[in-house]
Amino acid sequence: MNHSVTLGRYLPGSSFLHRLSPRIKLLVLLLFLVILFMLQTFAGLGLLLILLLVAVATVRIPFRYLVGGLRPIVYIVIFTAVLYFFFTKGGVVLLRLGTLTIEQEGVSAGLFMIARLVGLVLMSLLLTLTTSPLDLAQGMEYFMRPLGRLGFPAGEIAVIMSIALRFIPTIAEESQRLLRAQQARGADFEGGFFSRARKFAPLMVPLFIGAFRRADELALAMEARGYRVGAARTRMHEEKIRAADWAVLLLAGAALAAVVLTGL
Amino acid sequence: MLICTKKLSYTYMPGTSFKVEALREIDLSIDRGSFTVLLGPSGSGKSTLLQLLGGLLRPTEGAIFIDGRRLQYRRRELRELRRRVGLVFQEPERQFFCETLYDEIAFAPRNFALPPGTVKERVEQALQQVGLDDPALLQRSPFQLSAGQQRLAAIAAVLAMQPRLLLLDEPTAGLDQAGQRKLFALLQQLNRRPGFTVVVVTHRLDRVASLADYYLVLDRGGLLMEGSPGEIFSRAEELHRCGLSLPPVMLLMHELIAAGLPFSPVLYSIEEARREINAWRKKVARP
Amino acid sequence: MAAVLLETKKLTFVYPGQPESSRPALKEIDLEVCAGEYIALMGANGSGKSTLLKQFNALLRPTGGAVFVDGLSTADDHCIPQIRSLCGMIFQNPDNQIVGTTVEEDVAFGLENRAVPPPEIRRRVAAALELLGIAHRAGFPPHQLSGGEKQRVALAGLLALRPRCLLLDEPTAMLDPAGQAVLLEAVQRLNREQGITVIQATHYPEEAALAGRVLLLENGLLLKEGPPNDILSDLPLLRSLGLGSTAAGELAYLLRRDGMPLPGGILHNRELAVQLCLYAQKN
Repeated sequence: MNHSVTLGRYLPGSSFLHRLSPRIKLLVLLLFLVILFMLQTFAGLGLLLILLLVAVATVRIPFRYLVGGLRPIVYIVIFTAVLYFFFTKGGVVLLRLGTLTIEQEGVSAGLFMIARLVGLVLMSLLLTLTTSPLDLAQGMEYFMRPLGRLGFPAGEIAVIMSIALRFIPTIAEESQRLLRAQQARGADFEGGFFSRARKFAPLMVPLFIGAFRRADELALAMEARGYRVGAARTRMHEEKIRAADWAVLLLAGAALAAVVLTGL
Repeated sequence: MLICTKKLSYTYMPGTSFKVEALREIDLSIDRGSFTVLLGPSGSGKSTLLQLLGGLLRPTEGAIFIDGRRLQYRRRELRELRRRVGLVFQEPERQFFCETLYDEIAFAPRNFALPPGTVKERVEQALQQVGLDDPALLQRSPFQLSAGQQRLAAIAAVLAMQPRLLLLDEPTAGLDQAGQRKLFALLQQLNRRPGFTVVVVTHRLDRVASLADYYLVLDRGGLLMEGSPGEIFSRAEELHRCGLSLPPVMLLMHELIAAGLPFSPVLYSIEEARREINAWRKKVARP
Repeated sequence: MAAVLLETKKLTFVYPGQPESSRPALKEIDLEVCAGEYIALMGANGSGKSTLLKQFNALLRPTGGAVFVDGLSTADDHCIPQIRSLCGMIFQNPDNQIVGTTVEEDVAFGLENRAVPPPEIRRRVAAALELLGIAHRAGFPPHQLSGGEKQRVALAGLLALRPRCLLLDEPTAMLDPAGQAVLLEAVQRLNREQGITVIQATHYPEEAALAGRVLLLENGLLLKEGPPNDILSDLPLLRSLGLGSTAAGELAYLLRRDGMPLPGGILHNRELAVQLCLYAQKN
């Protein structure tokens, strides 16, 4: 059994966002991405962030989950801030550090960029926290389907994505087990595991051999169960789009139109 | 080496909604030189317990005492523990990564920074112990060995640390009868050396029953029973209830007793049963 | 006599990449399996058990001779989808045969591959899960199941396809006693009640003793076949192959050698008990 928690990982639930169709969620995300990059004013961006926070509230996700999800972007935020604060010039000089200055335009541009980043991360978190990876993969497959007529292997890619999702916990468990097994043989991975490439071999070699063996056995099992590349397949669950889904899509479209028209 | 645990507990992901209590307040002791079998249905915490005893996991609560000293999980202490306690994982041949059998077996002794001469000695000794001392094999890839030989080589790779305690997780899984026979012969031979302790996790009791002198039974993270074979197998009902079965010979003897035949219910090998029935035959045949 | 379901004629198989002159993995095997039979396949590691099983659902195809499933030759490409619907296979490692992200998705996989309409898939999946007592696990990801449950999921995936033959490759090797018992019981029930043919490779004489017929393989040759009480009481032969018999079988053999007048072919504990009681009465 695997017990690791990945931040940003799907949290099962039954909120409004959980129940929305994954296809609609993907479309809405796309629309909101466009909105995010069209917004030119702090007022507009502020409104969007408030809307996102309201959405977060409806999902009832534990607060530390959200903070945990935002943690990886802290460094990007700091980097962005430094970049904009020091290198975008214009307006009143706010601070002078030797030859470096921080000017008003830089601060406002930097803050705007950071607000955008936070919005971006919140949006994608909202999607991944409320949609199971399998649903997400199937949603993506749906949009790739038209490409199938052009010879694009949409069905195969969907199967590959779903198998990858299925085996992530198994392989995580396997690498954990290998780590401990080699430790039991006296391997010392503590104190700078990344310091020497030589230390990788006892983990990576068996992990790769295992993965190839697994792939071999899996391919055989899939073949035995009648899987053939390129053959027509059906799906057990066809998910339906309901009135609420259309309503949300419509609202998102309206929001985009409003942003375009008002120039927020 | 004497190991005992006090209120040993282990919880995966403590403090989160994903937490799983794998072991709860385990008090047990394993005597120096014993051949202990750890029983339990799947998911009962056996593998977690082995990893705790091998110092690979740190208990969330409780403590482990080794020769009376409480394990503090200091780095040097852990290294010493891992050298003295050999842990053989399930399907240990899956850990192989070296190009030659020699390097594979030498991995552990080299990790403990032994001089090359000693490493060579250790490798030869370990391979000799498991019966793979054909010099032609040394430079062969470990992956070219047969399934049974690979398993033995994986055990040799742990024996090369010269541990005093060997912990094995399902060592016979996937081996044919001949491979299983060889493996248990090896464990018996190791256990005969003074002070060498063997702890085996297994589901199949047919071969191990005649070797084991102590049993630990886990069920859903708790220690259900601990004791001599006689003590454990007299509680067949409870074993059955948590999905464990008696050694096949014992099931056979139970059937004979149920048919009204005067045999002892606690026998561990076919040989013992044979002796008992032959003795009975002499009695019956006497008019 | 029931109709012949599986048939091999001088079946020889050499793994690709092996030189023609090397020892074949299977050599000139002639075999007939009737519908509804329960067959155990015994032999040491590398004797050809898995290789033979894989011939029956065309995962491997003969390099010499022929294999027929319900009259269809596995050499004929057009017959393969039908052959794989007739003969489902379960492998030793429960982890590497589950494809789905959830239990029900996995059971549905074979049906999806055959483009069965979704409502029909849902009905058949539910029925198969129910039949094997794992309906309560339908929405679980596979890595949260025990080994025994995983093997039952794999079996449910086959049953949903309504096969006529199950090919089981050491399916209990990685299970605990409870898991073994539940799986074997399910397989026996399917054989008894639905007449599904079973061919099971196993290392364990206790499992082979449950079959109607035992095949002994050695180095790719079909050495001997017959009812379990014939095959499993030939202890010298079994031992020479690195195999053994059941506890009752071994004990009966030793007692006979010690001069006790016991009939041959004892395999089950009950049989030995009855014979010992008879012996006590006679004396």
